[in-house]
Amino acid sequence: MTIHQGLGISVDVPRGWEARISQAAAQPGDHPGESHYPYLHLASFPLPPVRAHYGGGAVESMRPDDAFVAVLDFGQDAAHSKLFELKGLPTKLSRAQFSARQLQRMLPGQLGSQQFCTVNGRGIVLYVVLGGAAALRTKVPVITTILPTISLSNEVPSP
Amino acid sequence: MTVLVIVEAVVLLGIGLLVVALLASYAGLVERVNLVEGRAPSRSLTPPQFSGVSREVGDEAMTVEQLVGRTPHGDDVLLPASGIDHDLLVAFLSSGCTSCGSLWEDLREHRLPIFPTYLRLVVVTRGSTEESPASIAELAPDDVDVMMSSEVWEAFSTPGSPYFAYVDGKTGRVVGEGTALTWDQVLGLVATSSGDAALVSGVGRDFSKPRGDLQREEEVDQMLMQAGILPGDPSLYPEPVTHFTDGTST
Repeated sequence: MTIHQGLGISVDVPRGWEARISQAAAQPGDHPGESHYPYLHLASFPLPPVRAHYGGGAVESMRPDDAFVAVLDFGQDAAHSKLFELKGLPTKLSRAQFSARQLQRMLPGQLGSQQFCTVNGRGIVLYVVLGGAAALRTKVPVITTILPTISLSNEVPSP
Repeated sequence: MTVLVIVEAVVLLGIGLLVVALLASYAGLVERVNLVEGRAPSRSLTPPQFSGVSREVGDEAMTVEQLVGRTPHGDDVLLPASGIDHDLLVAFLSSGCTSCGSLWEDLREHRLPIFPTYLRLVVVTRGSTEESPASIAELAPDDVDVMMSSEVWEAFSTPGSPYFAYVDGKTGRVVGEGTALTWDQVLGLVATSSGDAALVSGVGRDFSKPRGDLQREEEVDQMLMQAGILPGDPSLYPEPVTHFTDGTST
């Protein structure tokens, strides 16, 4: 495992996995007050340089044994909502938490899991995509070792 | 008397030229012997060829676990370089080097040769204290992995830019490195490093041959590559000789 950190996020990355910590730049068409918090992407396969927050542009190339993990920050306002009432980032994922209906974009054979929680007073989404059922056995245990190592700083850098 | 002096001068000039030619010939022979025996050439008149041989650090080949850096757009990136099912082609480029200009331009214009699907191209520039992220962002296309990291640059002991390193993804070993001025030359590095001669010769990898022939072919390929003769080298394709019935030939 190798510690990778940036923009207030830190994670231990297993051998052979890729990690990217990004922060979307403010765009001219953004709504007033729209937030651009940092987010973490982890993958067991090569990630393209340009991806959407939920892995659009990357998940399409996943093989059945691949896994994609996104940790997305929704800010302090989200933390006060019922959806994010779970305290702390989940440290375990079970097979039962994965289904095709959890996917942001349904692709044949893929399974997804989406968990909402609050970390350091911020609303956080943990989103995981598996390329296929094979990854339930091979990659979910690896993800379970990664999750406890993810740390999110109190101080979020401004975009 | 004047004629004698002129004749002597011409003779001396001729002898001088002969000595220079002999010295040049001797230097060329020494260089070829060095190449055949695997020693570094005593001088370099042309850009260095791809070594195709792993860099030796002490007694062990250099290995890379991962590449860590920041993109010109500010993403912190960790790319694995070992324990993966694809190889890495690391291209060390800079914004200032003249030779890099056409390489950047070909990247932007998508004028690259067809690299094998098992290969991932990663461009690495020096970090933001030595390169301007804005300049690199302007040079680099969005769809190519570009990382800014002086640490990666130093880890590979990169002598300058442009420079290329081929990393075997299973082991993380650097199996080939060298400089190139065009992406076609880089493809030569890939062919040398991966042993995939089909990349430049067009011959399919699955071409069925007896094992003995394949082994001999591999040995000959290795010897040629060590002598700096890469697939596609013109010296491998001499003009055909035609024999005539009168005993002469062309």
